[in-house]
Amino acid sequence: MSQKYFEDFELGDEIGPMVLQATDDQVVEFCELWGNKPPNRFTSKEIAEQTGVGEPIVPGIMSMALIAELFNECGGSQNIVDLDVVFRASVPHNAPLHVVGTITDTREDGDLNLIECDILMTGPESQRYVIGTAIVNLPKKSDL
Amino acid sequence: MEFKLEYDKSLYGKEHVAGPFPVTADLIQGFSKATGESNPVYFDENVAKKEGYGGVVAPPTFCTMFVRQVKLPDIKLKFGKNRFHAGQRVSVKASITAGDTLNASSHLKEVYPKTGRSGTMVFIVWETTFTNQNGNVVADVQESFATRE
Repeated sequence: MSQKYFEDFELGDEIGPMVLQATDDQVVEFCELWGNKPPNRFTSKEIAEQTGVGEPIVPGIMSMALIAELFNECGGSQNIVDLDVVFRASVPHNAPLHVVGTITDTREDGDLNLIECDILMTGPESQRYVIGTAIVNLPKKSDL
Repeated sequence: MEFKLEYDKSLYGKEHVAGPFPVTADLIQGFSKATGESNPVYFDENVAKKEGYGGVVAPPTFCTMFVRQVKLPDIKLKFGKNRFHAGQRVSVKASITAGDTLNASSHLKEVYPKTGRSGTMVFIVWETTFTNQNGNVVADVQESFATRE
């Protein structure tokens, strides 16, 4: 994890890309914690087929948590103030997921030094799985 | 032509509550591990304290895990058949750390149609506010569900 500062970002800069995946085991583990006990449409091919999604998919809230990790590249995902995502397509297990952010605004708001960016999670063939926006509060070099 | 939506509008203004949800270091670490997090503030109390937190801190989307614990009523929407999770928004108001206890309160925020190339969809948005043991709001979570014609 690297520390980046508010002053390090300008409009159009990219964060990432980060490549990750959600394994079968991770999805099972997540469902157990979430209270959605497996087997379910997120973990079982049979149930996924019955519910019309075909293959087991990554739960939306898990995809959102994966996206948040992008900000470990700039000081830590704990600095996220707002994360807003739209699920455009089902996210598969065990497949490379590419996540990238593009800065669309930088501003100071009271004590906060905010960067705002568009977020995109895509598949190996550039399929758009999740889109969204994030606002992150970063420290300023000048405050050190 | 105005799109007329039929659903139970009496649900506006009603709060649906759930909790308490005790937040433990094990739960935070389990969530972080399952989502592949490696950030030490979610695992190591000493690192978290050096960063100014009271203990192991929860990732920003952690409380989304509790949203489905709120029993939400059927809005009796007379449109579409298949409903799917269309989107989610988390607005972080304060950090959540191990030892906190959260409560959730959800209400129907809005129901609206949207028409595109593939036809009309109706979006149902629920908003859940999480407060901690001190009554402070720690996060607002919006969940959108869509139905197709």
